[in-house]
Parts: sequence; C-alpha cells; structure tokens
Amino acid sequence: MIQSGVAGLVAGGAYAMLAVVVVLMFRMVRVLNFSLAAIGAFGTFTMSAVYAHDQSYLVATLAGVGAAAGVAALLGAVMALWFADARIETRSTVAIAMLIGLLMIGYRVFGDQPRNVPSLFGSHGIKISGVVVTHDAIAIVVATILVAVGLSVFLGRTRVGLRLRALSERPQTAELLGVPARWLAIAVWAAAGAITALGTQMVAPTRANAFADLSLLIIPAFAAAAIGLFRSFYLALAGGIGIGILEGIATNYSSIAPYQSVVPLVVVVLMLMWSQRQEVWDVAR
Amino acid sequence: MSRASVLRSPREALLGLGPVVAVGLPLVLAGTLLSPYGKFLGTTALVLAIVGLSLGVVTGRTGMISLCQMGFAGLGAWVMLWFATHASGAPFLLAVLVSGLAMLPVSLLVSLPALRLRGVNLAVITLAFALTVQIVLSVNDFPGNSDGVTVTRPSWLETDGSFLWACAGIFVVIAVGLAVLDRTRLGASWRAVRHSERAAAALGRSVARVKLSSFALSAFIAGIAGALLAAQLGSVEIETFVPLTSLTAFAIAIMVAAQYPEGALLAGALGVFLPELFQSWNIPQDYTNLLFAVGAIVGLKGGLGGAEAIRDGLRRLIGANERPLLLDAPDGGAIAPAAAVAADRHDDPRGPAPAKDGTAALEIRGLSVTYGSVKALDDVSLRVEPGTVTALIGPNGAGKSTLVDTVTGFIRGYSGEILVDGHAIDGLLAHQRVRAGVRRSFQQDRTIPDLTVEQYLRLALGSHRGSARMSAAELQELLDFFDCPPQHRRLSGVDVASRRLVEAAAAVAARPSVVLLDEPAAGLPAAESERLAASIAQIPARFGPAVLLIEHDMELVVAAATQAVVLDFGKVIASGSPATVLSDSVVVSAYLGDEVSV
Amino acid sequence: MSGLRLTALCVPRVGFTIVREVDLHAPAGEVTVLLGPNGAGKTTLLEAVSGLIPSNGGKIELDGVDITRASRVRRARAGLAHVEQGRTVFAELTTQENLRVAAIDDDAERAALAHFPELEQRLHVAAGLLSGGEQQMLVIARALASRPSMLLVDEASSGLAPVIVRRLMPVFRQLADDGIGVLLVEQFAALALGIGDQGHVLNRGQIRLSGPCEELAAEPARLREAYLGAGQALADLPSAT
Repeated sequence: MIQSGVAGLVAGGAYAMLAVVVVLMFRMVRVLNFSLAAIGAFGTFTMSAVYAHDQSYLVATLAGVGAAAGVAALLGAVMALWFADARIETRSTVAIAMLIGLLMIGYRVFGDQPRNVPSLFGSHGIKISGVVVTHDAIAIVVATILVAVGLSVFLGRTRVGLRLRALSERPQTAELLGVPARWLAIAVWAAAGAITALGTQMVAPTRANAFADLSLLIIPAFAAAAIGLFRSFYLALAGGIGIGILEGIATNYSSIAPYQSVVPLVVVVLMLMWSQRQEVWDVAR
Repeated sequence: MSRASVLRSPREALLGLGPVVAVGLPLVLAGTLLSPYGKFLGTTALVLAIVGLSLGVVTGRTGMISLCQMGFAGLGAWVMLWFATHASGAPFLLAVLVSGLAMLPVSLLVSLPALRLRGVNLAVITLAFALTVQIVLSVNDFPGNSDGVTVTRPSWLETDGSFLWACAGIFVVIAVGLAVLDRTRLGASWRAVRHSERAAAALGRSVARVKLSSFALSAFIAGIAGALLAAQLGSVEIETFVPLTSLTAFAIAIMVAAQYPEGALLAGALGVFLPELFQSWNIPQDYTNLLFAVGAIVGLKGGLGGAEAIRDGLRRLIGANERPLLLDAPDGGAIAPAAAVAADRHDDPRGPAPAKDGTAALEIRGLSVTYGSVKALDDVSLRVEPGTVTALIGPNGAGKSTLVDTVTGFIRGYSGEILVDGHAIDGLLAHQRVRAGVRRSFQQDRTIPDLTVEQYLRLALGSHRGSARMSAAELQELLDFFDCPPQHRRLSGVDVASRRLVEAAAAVAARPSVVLLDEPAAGLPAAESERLAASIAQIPARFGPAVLLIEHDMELVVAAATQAVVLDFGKVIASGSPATVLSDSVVVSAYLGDEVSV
Repeated sequence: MSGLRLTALCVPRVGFTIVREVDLHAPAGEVTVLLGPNGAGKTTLLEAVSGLIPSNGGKIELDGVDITRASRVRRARAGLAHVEQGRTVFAELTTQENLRVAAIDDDAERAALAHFPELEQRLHVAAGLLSGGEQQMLVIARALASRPSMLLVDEASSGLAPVIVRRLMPVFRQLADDGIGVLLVEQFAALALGIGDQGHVLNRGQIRLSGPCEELAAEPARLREAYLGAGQALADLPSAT
C-alpha cells in the first residue's frame, strides 16, 4: 500500500512540475496552455535523440531544454504579437490549436513510437523502513520543489518578477509604465518550455512515452493546477504529488485500478466548483 | 429608410441556402457518382459534419468551449452497439435516436458544472470528461467487440449509396431543425449567452437553462453521429473517441465556424477528403492537422471562422450589409425638435391616468450596498411614479450604475427593499425580476450581434404577461418610434449608436412596469440624442412603462424627464423637477466642484 | 516644440468617431486643463495619446517627435506617463512595489514619494488596501517615478472627497513649475481651473471653448453652458445635420 503510493511519486513529481508551470503561465501570461506538455515532449525527444548520438546526459539535457525553450518562445511570440489583448478563452483556444500542430510536427520529426529516454539514476533507490524510494523519484520531487520555491522567490524578490506580477494584474497599465510586455511574455513562455522539458524528461523513462502520451500529461497537470485554483504554486505542487500518490494507491484495488486516472479528475471537478461557488456573472459589470 | 430593406430578407435567405448547396452538392455528387470507397468517405464526412453541427450548438452558438464532443459520440456508438448485441431486433432509426437521447442525462455531467464554471475552467472539465470517457470505454470495451458482433444495417440501408443518402438526410433534418430553433427564443438565447450572460439575463432568460439546453442538444447530436459511425463501420475502436480527436474536432469547428451548416459540412469534408487528397499527392496525411491548427489560429486572429468569413463576404457582395445608417440623418422637417415634443407631451390626451392607489411603478426603500469598506449606496430611497420619466443623475462614481445593477438583480447582498408595482422583488434572480416587470439597458453596448433586429426584439419580448405575441405591424411601429434600423438587419452590421436605440426599443417592447435606461445617449451624436430624448419622453404614454433614466447629458435629461433625483457619494442629495434640481447649488457643486459660485 | 501637440486628432471607438479633429497643445512647464461632461471624449482622447487605443487621423507629437504610430511602451519611454481613470493600482502589490514597477532608479522613487509624504507610512501595505485618496496619490507617484516629461491625468478627482481633491491639485501646479507638462482631464471644473494655465472644454468630441484658466473661472455662466449644455447652450451648438 505505502509502496504503491510511493511508486506514484515519479509521476506525481512530473504532474506537479507541469502544474506549477501551468499556474505560472495562467497567472503571468494569461493562458491555459494546452500545448505545454507537448512542448515538453519536444524537448524530451530532442534529448533522447542527442543522447543516442553518444552525447553525455548533461549535453543531451541541455539540448532538450534548449529545444523546448525555443519552440515555446516561438509560440509565445505568436501569442504576444497576434493575441496580446485577446481574452484568456481565445488565447487558450489558440493553445489548443498549437497542441494539435505540435502533435503533428512531433509525430513527423520523432515518429509515434516510444523512445528510449535515459534515466538519471536507473532503478537504484534507497530503502526507508521497508519501502523503496528510487533516486529518480527523489530527484524529481526535489527538482519540483526547487522550481516552485525558485519561481516564488523570483516573482517576489526580483525586479523582473515584480514587473511580471504587475503585468499579470493590469497588462495595459504596466505597458503604460514602460514595462515591455511582449518581450517579458515571450521570456515566460521560453522559461515555461524549459522547465516543462525537464519535468517530462524525468518522468519519460518510467511510463509510456510516445509523443502523444507525453503531450497528454497536460490533463493531470491541469488537475493539479486546479487544486491550486490556478493561483498557488505550492498547492499545485502538493496537488500534483497527491494525484500521483492517489493513482499509485488506486492500483492496489482491483475494482478501481483500471480507473486510476479518473480519480483525480473527480477531485478537480469538485475543486473547481467549490472555488467558483460565488461567481455569478461572466463579467464584473 | 426602413421599408426598402424588408425586400432584402429573401436575399438573406438566399444567402443562407447558397453556401449549403455549394458545399453539400459536390459532397453528395461525389458520393453518388464515385466508387464505393468514395461513397464510404462521403458517409464519414457527413458523420463528421454532424459532429460539427453539435459543436456548432455548444461552441459556435452558445460560446462554451467543449473538448469532449467525440466522447459523446463514443458513448452514442456504445449504445448503438448495445442495441446490436442485446436488442438486435430494434428498428434501426429508433436505435439511432435512442443513442442520441441517452446522451441527454450524460450531458448533465458536463453541463451541471458549466452552470458555475465558464471559459477555461469549463474547458478543463470537458477535457477531463473526454479522458474519463476514454478510460471507461477502454476498460469496458464496446459491447460485442469481443464476440465479433457488429451493427447490421436494415436491408434498405445495406448499400454504401443508400446509407450515404440516409446520413445526408439525417444531416439535413438536424441542420433544418437547428435553423428552425435559431428562429425561436431558445436559439436566440444561446447566442445571447455567447455574447453576454448579463445581457441574456436582462432579456429575461435563465442563463442556467440556456446552458443546460445547449449542452444537452449538442450531446444528443454528437450521440447520433457516434451511432451512425458505428452503423457505418459495423464496429468501432476507442482510438476514434480519445480526447485528441475531440480537440481536433474543436479546432476544425473553430476554423470553419460550424454553427453554419455549410461550415459543418466543410468540417466533415476537410476532415475526410483533405487527408485523401494529401495522400494522392504523396504528402503524409497527418499534415492536415498542421493545416487545421494554423487554420484555427488564423480564424481566431481574424475573429471569423471560414463559413462566417464567406458569408460576410457574400453579404458585402450583395449589399445586405451596408453599414452607415445613422449618418444619413433626417432632413429636418419630419422630426420635431426634442424640446418641443417634450413640452407637447404634457398636453397629450393619450397620456396615462395617474396611478389611482398611489402605488409606485418602482419604489426603493433604504437601499444600501457596500463593497468592502466603501458604501456605494447609502440608504437610498426613491420612487418612480407610473407614467413618468424620472432622471437619475450625479457625477462619476456616485453610485448610479450600482443602483441599476442592484434593482435589476445583478448585485446580491444589499440591504433595503425594492418594490415593483407594490410587490417586493428582493428574493428574485435577475431574469425573474425581468418577468416581474423591471427591464434595463446597459451602459456598454450589450445587444447580440448575431441576431437580427427583429430576432433581438422577439427575444426581449419573452413569454410573460401574455406579451409573447406582437404583430408585425406593432413591431414595425415600435421600431419606427425609436428610429431603429430595418428589422431584418443583423445587429453586427448596425452602427453602435443605432444599437443603443434597438436596445431601448427592446427594453420597452414587453411593456414592463418600469424601464431603467443606463446612459442611453452615450456615444450618440447631438441630433440623435435629441431625437432619443423625445422618444424617451413619450415612452410612458405610448407604451406604458415608467422610466428611470440614468444620464449625464443634461440636455437629454431636461428634454425627457419630468422628475430628477441626484445621487452623490451614494446618497440622494436632491430631487424635484429637472430645472429646479439643475439650478440647486448643491447639485452644481457636485458637478463642478465646491468652489464655483454660479 | 516642447510638450504635447495634437493636430487634427480623430479617434474612433467601437466603430464610432468619438474625438473629431482636435487640435491641442499642452506645453512643458504648464498645467493644461481639459474639461467636459461625461461622454465628451476626454478619456478616449487621452487613451489615444498614450496608445491604449489607436487613432485614425491626425498627428501626436511629444517634444517635437511624432509618436502617432509608436507602441505604448515606446511612448512611455519617450516621456509620456498616463494616469488612468479609476485608480489603477496593482492591488496585490505593496505601495513600494507599485512604485518600483515604474521607477527607473531609487532616486526617481524617492523624488516621486516626496510629493506625497502620506504614502511613506504605507509603503509595505498592499495597494488594494489603501484608501481611495491614497490610491490616487499612489498612481500619480507611480507615474512620476518613470520621470516623465509629460503627465496625462484622467479624472484624478473622480469619486474622491473634495478635501482630497484640494490636496492633490497643488501637486500638479508644483510639477509644472518644476518643468513637467501636465494635461489634466477633469469633470470638476473649479479646482482644476484654480491651478491651471490654459483651459479647454471638450464636448461631443470637439473643443468648444478655450482660454486662460483665470478667464474661464471668471465666467462661470459661459463655462456652465459649454459644460452642462442645458438651456442657452442648445442654441450655440452647431446643428449636426
């Protein structure tokens, strides 16, 4: 039981990392980015391809992260140039179209077969009172926590972070004060792509990792982000890890095991409905 | 300026039919003349077109992002296969119909959350539902799949050709059904909700009911599409109904504007024939998806989907869209100066008798609204007597709009009492207050661009107080009275100033007890606002409702109102006749600042 | 050619021309007051100047440089600062953070604060929790922190008690005396005219009345006509046909 919960940690860590980025983009660049995991998959497959050419893990990772950041920056530029003042619904719909385009390109470039994505630590792990925790699980959870803390500090303490927060609250007013909205938005997209590539790369060795499979990681990531009400990094983090553990535990019960991925979705619906319980109208006035 | 335009309505009708024929005919011809494979593809295209119609309801018309339509189709196919396995004797068309009907309760799983969630949150829910369907269907598999049971079509539908025609027939029935619905208040309500939920509620429609019906109908249509697909293929696989196909269907629907039948047909044709075409050119089929992605983004950028853009172009071509209405202004003479009309009205023998029992049309008692620590309204009491126009004036931020929002039910949690014709309406929701006899217009333009002037007015009429019926002559009289654009013109092709007139006409149309007009003259040029003043002054005599006029334009107030109430910092600081109130030093200082001694 | 100069500026809004061929000069070192009733087009005019909405005719020059087609950010960097209507603080940011979004350096932040010592004690409070008057001071200080050469202020007095408005107005005078150009859009005529140099009344998209502020203030009847538009003003307005 505990072991199966722990087995869900790697997946949970990846959900959490993606969820944190979903929250970042929702807050800072006003988009629910459906294409996020596909961007990550792009990076992961680049990494795998570079690794296959006898490059070191580090070089391959840098290549993957760079590729993802590049793709994301490109998409971010489309968004910043064409949909700068558009509503979040429109921007998110654009992201859906981007997902479909990326899936096609990913399929063309990388094929539809799962890839051999190298794992950093293999199957090694440490044993804590009878329960095995893999190094991979520890690595991804730690990395996710670092990302969440790092983003909080960055937004809270730096001048660029401050300007981003201003931009997220009143984009037009921030622009009137000379904040370069477009460039900052593109930078956020690039950073989001890079972090996501790290997350998908770390989870890819442990599960079905065809391009489309990795792209659909966005659904549990949305679920986790919804637990943070698309606002809180730390709740999204906890939500992602919680969903991973829940999925792991669900494998223990034969009656619900097949539906393990549905469990978090029910949680999401309830969370969203609770969070929106007071909103009555579509616009304030 | 309005008569000639009536003749234009057949043109509009032609406009609707033309593209359907243009897209549909080649499709059917292809299916009839071509090889069996061609017919097979044509059938698939029609089924996808039906999915397109379903998205046209929920997304195209109602404006809700639905990413689970193929999920509904998958469940429809499941029901169809259940019939094949467990009740193979059931009539074919009945089984198809039941497959669609079975989706009505299922749609509640998505539409009930939709009552609270909108926009991107709703998108997440629908995507989650699509994934749930995938998981449930992969665990349980389709009935009969393991035993090799397939859907057998009845003898009259056995050939590819006959089944193609049957699908075409079903497509036409649904498309025509939707076209008929579009002319009803329900159809108009969907488009109202798409544009603005507040506007829909202010027109007396329950936003909840509108959303539920939209999801239910779209799930029904998608379920039928799934059943047809099962019937075409004999058996289906889960891969057809995964979230990804729902997402792609959504993107295509956005690209082609699937709320139009030709858009839906185009969606089906693109989804089936384009990959074939690519293959024949030795281009990998999946490049079509890139095309759909780019197409959707371009469509979103332009704000128009394919079919919409085509219609817009055609309209321009045949001149059903000419815009500047307002500026070909009257050549004097015909319309009396506002002040003169306003003065005349006091002698108008048709004026309503003063209320016998002293009941106000609208009475507000001790109304207070607090936002955080700010008192937006502070113990406001006022009466609007039947048969009068009362102006509510005051500087920016005085609380005028808050008062309108509170009276009409858009702000909950106030203290005080609001009575209409002596009946308290405090417990009622916004759309219920409309039915109780309070109407409003909005400061910003909230007319529904997808509707014609007539459709908008009929939507506003609603079904309460037996006013649902309004003869064409009465409608025309109302439109003429407010100088509205011709009734068959779509509001999207009408300038903003004229839309304000239409909105005012709609508020009056149902003859409520009281109409709250929120800055109706904002943005109107001088001559127009003078004419509007004259019209407003006559509303009580001509149509019955008392008027509470919120306005900044003092000329308009003087010309239209017999009473004025001045609000400043959420409190009533003066009331009386407009002339008295405007010369009151307190009022002048509220407007010009403290230190002007006028 | 210092200051802001508008030549035959036309601005549309939702398909309707709201501002028509307005010529206006707001020189550096002066407070230019733009009065007019609601819906006259004052806010639309300012938004076109700062680039929030596009203009469709005419020219906008700042210190002799044509900025008619420049982006919002470039206009801001050229020295334009626009204090929008409705106290647009970043509510979730503290007072100090609000200033820092715009401040080009610490000196600019300090200089901006010097005009509003009241804000000193509120530096670490979320701007959303400030009173209306404090919020208005903050948005003005924030605009100043970018060291503008031209300050556009849209209805600083809206929804504020007269005592606060009396506190704010002298600041604009001081800024002009320091060499900044100020274009003050107001609904409250008296206080603005009291500190302004040139005054203009905008009504229905066009300038109806111009003159030195002293003269305008001395002729309240004319002002009221152009402003409230009631009574005699009806006859003065050119016919729209």
